[in-house]
Amino acid sequence: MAKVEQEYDVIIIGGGINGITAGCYLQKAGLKALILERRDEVGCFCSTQELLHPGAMVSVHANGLFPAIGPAPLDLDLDRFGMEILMPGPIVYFAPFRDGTALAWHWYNPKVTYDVWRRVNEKDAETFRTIAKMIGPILQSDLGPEMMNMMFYEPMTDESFLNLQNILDMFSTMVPVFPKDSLYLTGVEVLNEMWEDERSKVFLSGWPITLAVDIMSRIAGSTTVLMMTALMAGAGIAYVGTGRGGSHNLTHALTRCFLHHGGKILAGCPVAKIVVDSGEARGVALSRDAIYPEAEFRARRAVISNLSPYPTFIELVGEDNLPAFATLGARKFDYRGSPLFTTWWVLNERPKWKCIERFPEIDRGFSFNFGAETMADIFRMDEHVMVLDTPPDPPVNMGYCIHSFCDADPSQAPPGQYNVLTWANVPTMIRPLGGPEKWDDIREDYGDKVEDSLNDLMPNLKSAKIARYCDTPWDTWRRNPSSRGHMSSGYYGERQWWSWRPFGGCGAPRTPVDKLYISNSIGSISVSSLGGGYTCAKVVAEDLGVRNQDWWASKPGDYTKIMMDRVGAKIDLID
Amino acid sequence: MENEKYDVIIVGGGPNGLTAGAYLARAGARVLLIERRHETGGGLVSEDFSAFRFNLHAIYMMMMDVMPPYEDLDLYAEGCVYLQPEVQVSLLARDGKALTLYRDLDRSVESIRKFSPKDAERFRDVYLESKELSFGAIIPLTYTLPMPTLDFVDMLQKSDIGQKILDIGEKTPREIVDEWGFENPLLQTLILHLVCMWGLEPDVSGVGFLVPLYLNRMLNMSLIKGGSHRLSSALQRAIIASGGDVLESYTVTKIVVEDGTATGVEVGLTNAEEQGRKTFEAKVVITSTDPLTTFTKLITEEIMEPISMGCVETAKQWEWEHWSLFGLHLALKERPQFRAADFDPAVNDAFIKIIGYDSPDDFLSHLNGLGAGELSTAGHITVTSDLDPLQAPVDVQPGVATLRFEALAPYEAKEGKWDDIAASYGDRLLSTIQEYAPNVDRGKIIRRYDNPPTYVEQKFANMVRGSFKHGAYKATQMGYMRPNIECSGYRTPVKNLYLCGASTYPGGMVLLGGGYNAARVVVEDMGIDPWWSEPDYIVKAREMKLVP
Repeated sequence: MAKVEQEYDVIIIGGGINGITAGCYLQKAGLKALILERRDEVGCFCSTQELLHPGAMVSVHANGLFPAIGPAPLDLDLDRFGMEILMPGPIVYFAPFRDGTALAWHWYNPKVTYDVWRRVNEKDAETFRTIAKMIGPILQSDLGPEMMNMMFYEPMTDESFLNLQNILDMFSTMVPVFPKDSLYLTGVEVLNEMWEDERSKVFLSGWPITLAVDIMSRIAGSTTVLMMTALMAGAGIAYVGTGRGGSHNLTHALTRCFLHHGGKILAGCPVAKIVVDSGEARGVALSRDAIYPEAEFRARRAVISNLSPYPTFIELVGEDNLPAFATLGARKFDYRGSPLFTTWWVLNERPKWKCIERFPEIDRGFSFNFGAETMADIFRMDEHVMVLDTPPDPPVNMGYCIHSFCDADPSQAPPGQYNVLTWANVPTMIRPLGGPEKWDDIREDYGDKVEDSLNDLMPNLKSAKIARYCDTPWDTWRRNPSSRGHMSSGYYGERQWWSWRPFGGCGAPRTPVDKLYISNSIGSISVSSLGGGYTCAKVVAEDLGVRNQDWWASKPGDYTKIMMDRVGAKIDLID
Repeated sequence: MENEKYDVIIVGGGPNGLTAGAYLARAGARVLLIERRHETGGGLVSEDFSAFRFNLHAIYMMMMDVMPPYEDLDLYAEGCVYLQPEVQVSLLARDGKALTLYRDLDRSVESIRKFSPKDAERFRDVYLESKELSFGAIIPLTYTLPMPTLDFVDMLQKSDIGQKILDIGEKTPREIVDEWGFENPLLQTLILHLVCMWGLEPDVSGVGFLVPLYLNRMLNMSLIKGGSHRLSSALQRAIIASGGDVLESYTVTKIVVEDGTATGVEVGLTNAEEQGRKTFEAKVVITSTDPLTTFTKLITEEIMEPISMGCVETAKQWEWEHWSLFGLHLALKERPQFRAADFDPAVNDAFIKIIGYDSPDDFLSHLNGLGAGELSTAGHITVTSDLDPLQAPVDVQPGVATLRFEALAPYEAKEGKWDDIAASYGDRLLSTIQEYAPNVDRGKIIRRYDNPPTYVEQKFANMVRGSFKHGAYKATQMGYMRPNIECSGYRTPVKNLYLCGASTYPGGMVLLGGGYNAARVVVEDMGIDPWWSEPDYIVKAREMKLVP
């Protein structure tokens, strides 16, 4: 043990992509940082492995990657460290339906989005056109990046939430169809007010649910639905793609950046305790099973936990070191809502869609949702996930399904093979079936159900299938215990959102414990925006007086513009 | 990366490529390492299946405690920590008995004494002599440059140890083991297994010097905590921390040779090489690829022949190994309970549990059958999570276990194509495991992978025909002859092109010798002072005239 340096400025618990992002910023700003990771490899939720045959890459968790919307790629020069986020084409998301129709979102040309919509529902298409015409140009100003900044890259405060509501109120004065007083409404109510066709509502539910937000909830649900509508009407903002070789590409680029600047990563190092002395975090101690059993590391200036609230506060800090509101907040933190059942296929021909003849636009579309034809299917899904605690049957796949990894990046499967991924929304605990361990027994049967339901929309799925891999919330839990099976660090609804996240009074990324910060379970939406790590690093750097750095200057949207140039995307607004 | 000028480009991020890269980057060279897969490490691959850590290729590390890179590159402090299980190996017999060997010689002797007092004492002598030969010469030779055969013989003749190595080198593994003269069939079987399991063919002469090394090293094996990939990960960190770059998911399609000199490489996207084409320039190119790939594909015959006919011809005659491996990997709801533990409780703690062979003939007929494509259900088991709790999610689900079963298997099976028979063969292996550990039934399996020899080949491009050491170990492909006489010392007839992979001296098996030795040659040619010094055991061996 003598040879391992034991004292650092900052110790980061958990080498997920947010933990590494925080590490990159702070290390580059001149602090000496250590990242401790439980697994043998960092980037748990952003990893790629050959879980099927060689050459067939499986990125078992995060898939559509969002780092390009934020400042990190430029600030940290991630291109130099090998980051490549690739899109197969301009349709970033679509929803195919059993009747052979589809809705689709073109990420920089709202005219295409409108044109597709017109073939499904004229009235809703006109609604979209009006929104796009009024809001699209405004989002091209500083307002678009500013909104992204508020959503992802600033600490969530009551003030910032009110600012965001002011923007939404402004939209509602410009476009009458935007509901006023959305604070009082749930996401579903907003959808019902704005759209006529059930397919439009399902389509617009897709991203909020993908981002783990409860659209049945007030505030979180309504705000997210409205933001997504605005994003869709805007252009050139939502760059999302697959990492070169798989999602691990992002983890690798961040890791190399951190190491390049002199950071230290130790994997196989589960943390057993955050050492708190006189109300201050002073360091950490490892578990007995760690590669350095029970080793202690001192943190001179800060400890950052990239774990979710329960392990951070209850298991590592301990209730003795917490005020009652924090103990209660962490103990009642809700991990329900968006666990995922992943099914991954390798096919020996390109996926063929039933809707492709009438909607050729979706051919190289990146992501999709399926299994919900009307909002009733989404309500059924929600009832299973939040109330009945059993998997919906038939499954509803409102997660971020992807069918064209290989169009964007042929390196992810052997020549002539294609990867397809679906995410069904299911509960983790399944108590009526005997508890989460039962997932191991019902896994393949449930995979069959997902397969049946996708085959209706993609008729060559079964005939072209070479291999299939299913992954359950219990797998998620085992792999990443901090998640407790949740896809994205805990329930996103009114009571656990924005400045109330992870719990009221926490002041995240600061915490009730001095010098202890959190980069997980904070903010409005997690995904792979790197927002948690960025926001945390910013606050830590401000507190430690190292925020002023020449290189720490980019804004959301800056890198997206570069990506647009690279792919030759030209914004074409509706006028 | 694209606009950078590199000092050194390394083709292939396996253990040797990473090692060479780490030494050179730390020496101040600007290094780019290019890896075809999405992840570096080569055979040092650990994958996470539902949080069960499967070491899908390399696992039994025989050189961790002696390899110079471990100290030189501070791999311990970089998170590569290994453990050396006290109970190294048990041979489980069908009748429920078991013979166990330990790291501690006295414990092994006592264990053997239960079967044969005579063998126990004999084993002590054999082991001590093997240890003397290993530490005195064979290990030091692993981490120094190979010598021309005549010079080598000349050198070794000058000392007792050297002469012993020359003598033993002439014999076949079976002759050596026979001469050791053990009487107990279980011990005979176990010893033969230990020395041959990594591809020493029992009746092939010329590589007998590896027998004492393997006996010593197979009783001092290490498991890397957290999985084998920790080693490659630590090596890669050493490259990056010294300013090096790593490019993954791109395949080197060409080594650019101009006027007989390597000047860089061309790459394309893995699985779609016509896409993502890029060219990188470098002062030096080091490749860890096998000779056939290096001298007929990355450099075409057309370009290579005028430079060296010999390289092309020997590459085309390169002989792959004659057998490969089948891996059965299981994530289990509960730990396997071995029947033999009733006889000898140490079985539970043994790093390797060999099952299916009760006599040397069982083992030899398995090996002999491989050439004809025959399958056997014998093999060896490691329950990795028993030794290292990080390798199964026991913190979330207490009691679960990660089990690895490996069987020597032919690349071409008589029964049919591996794609068709892998699952049914896996079933048969599972039945064998159940004979020895009855609680391993289907209901206890959370995840299962049947990885045949074709899997090895598909996963690792240089392991053609599942050849996990990048080419057969035989006299004409070993030592100074590996991969051919013109490329013996890592230099090649192409100026500024070097070799470093398992197809160079001293071979495969995660020795890191190829990368370590190649780095020394490259710094010498580049005129850089090596920042590292040789371990004391090499200095001492040189004083004894046992290494160049």
